Amino acid sequence: MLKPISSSYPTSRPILNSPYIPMTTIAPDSILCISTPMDMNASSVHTFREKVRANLLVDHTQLDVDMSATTFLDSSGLGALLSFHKLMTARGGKMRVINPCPAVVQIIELTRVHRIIEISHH
Amino acid sequence: MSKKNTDSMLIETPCRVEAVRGAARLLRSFLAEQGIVESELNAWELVAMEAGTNAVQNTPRQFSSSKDNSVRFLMNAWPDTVELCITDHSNGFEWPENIELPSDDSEHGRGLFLINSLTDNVRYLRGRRENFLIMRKARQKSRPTSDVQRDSDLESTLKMMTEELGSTYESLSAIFRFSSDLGRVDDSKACAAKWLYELMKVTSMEWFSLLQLDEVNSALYLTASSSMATDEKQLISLEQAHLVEIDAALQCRDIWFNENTPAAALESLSARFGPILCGVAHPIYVGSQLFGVLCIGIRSGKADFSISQVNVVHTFADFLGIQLSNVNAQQEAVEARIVNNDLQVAAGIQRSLLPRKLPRLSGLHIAARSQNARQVGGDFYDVILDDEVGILFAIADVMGKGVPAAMFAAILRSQLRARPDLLGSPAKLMAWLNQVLYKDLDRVDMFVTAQLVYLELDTRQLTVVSAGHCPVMLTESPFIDSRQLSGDGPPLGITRDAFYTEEQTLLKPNARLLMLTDGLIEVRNPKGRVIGESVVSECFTTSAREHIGLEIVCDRLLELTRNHSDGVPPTDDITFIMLANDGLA
Repeated sequence: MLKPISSSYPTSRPILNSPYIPMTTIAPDSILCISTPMDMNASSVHTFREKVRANLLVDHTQLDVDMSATTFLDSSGLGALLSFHKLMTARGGKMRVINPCPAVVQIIELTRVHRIIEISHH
Repeated sequence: MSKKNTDSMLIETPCRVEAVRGAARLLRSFLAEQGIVESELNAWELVAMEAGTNAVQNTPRQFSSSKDNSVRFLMNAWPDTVELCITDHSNGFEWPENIELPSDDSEHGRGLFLINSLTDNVRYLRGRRENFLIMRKARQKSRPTSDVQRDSDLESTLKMMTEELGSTYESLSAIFRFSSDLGRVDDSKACAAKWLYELMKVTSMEWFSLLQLDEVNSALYLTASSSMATDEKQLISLEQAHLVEIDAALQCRDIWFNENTPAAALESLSARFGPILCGVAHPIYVGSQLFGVLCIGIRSGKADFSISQVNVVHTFADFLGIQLSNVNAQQEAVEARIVNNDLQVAAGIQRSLLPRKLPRLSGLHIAARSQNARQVGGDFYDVILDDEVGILFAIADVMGKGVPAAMFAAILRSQLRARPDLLGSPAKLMAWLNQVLYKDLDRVDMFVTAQLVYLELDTRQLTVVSAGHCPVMLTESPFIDSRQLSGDGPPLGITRDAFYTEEQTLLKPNARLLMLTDGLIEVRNPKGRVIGESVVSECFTTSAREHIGLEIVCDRLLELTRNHSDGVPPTDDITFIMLANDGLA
């Protein structure tokens, strides 16, 4: 565990139950930002994979997967994240998971995927 | 189809993943009505989804649309326990004895691990076209639903934010302290060690070791460690790929280890921190260059590291790499400036050792040039008058270049002038020089090639003695070609009691003599071809035939070498002395 800090913080975290965020936005040329659906499971992950493949260009060296809208993640969703991490690493780039909610963080930590993929909170 | 009683729910779905997803949502809603806490709802929804997906994926596609292949979910919510029984009609599978996480790069195999981790008890009964997966978990004490959900959300959000903010705060303040320390202290390694102790404290780790890349030796060397003697030096060759720290460096990725990691992979870390270790070897990159590897962890076989802990380790390590790399670059720049300054001083001293003015004697013209391949070279020449009887020319080439070679050139000069009584006997003088210099040269495994040429002013008799040096070129009227003069003997510093023989001749009127070091005839062009003796000799004899002044001939020879090299930097010093006999013998 990390050392606790005694100061007070704002408690709102506007990511739970947020509506579906449009899938694709391209930020600076080398970074592709993709948002995941609210439900990342075996039945929906195929659409996510297709969206990433359709938008990922040769020039992209970083893939940022914004998971702030996702409240459910199963092992198929984890598999999709790992496959894109492997793809980005193989081409000399990197992949990050951005702003996962606590429920998703729990699954990521339980399966130790955070040891493989960078998890970042902005 | 779904049926619901007060404490149980039965759902039967077609054998499709989308239908299974719907069932998992319904089961979650059912459990919520039973007052199950939020975290348990999340867990059961995921377990139902994983188990249902598994059933669908194990049913051959051609049978999945059949009504007989439906997937049935029966959930019981008893006061102390929740039980979910999933019945499918697939071919079933062998339930593994031990359920471990798959390798890092595997995209599959986490479903069963999740089911196993999120429930207390799992049984799989494989039948003939009918399989039962029964999962149980004790219920957590519940409170009214609205309170539970709100508190649970709030609690986990707060916990996560506290950890994030805590790690960010600690990382930032440590970065400021480290930057401040680096600016004040000379010992960057001690500073790094201090910083890593902070990282250890912040992340609740128990040990660390920082290894830096030694490119020359293709190894990692220990820079800082939580169990390190201050004067300790440890090198780990990059060829030891079985070690986790080397594996991390070579694969450019984090290598995690625990009680299940083979002992051989932790050989080096275990020797330092104990036999049972759990942690990570994190490669540190500065840009695209490997800087080193940070190993950090706890003394236990098993531990889970949170996202915040992992992120803090990465942040600290990567920042440390950049800072230490900058410090190293600064130190190298300072050292280069100091060395450059030393070389300039040495070059100045060396220039002062060469004759400032060459003697002017009736009927004789003398000219000389010396160019060093580096700032400081190993070539040397001198011209010493022997009263009014004769004149001694000395030219030498100390093996190697740079400051050590220049130092021996300086010693040779002083020794040469230490025995004026031997100036007229160059063979004896050479033997004496060898005896004097042998010990020092032998100690540092160096040697000197040298040539002494003595000219009697009255008789114009030349005596040439060589200590392994290239021959003198002599050209005489009608200056068709040149001939070589050389005595015989080994270079100085090869053997203690060397013997030197002399070669004598008369210097005829208008004859010219060229004493040189091999740098003049070994200048290379871009294809690696040397200029050679014949080209130098041709230029020398032609100039004599055309009665061109010695200073101009010297410049022509240098121009010849420049043209031949065609921009290739010289690898050896170039030195030569020219003598023209304009008087009579």
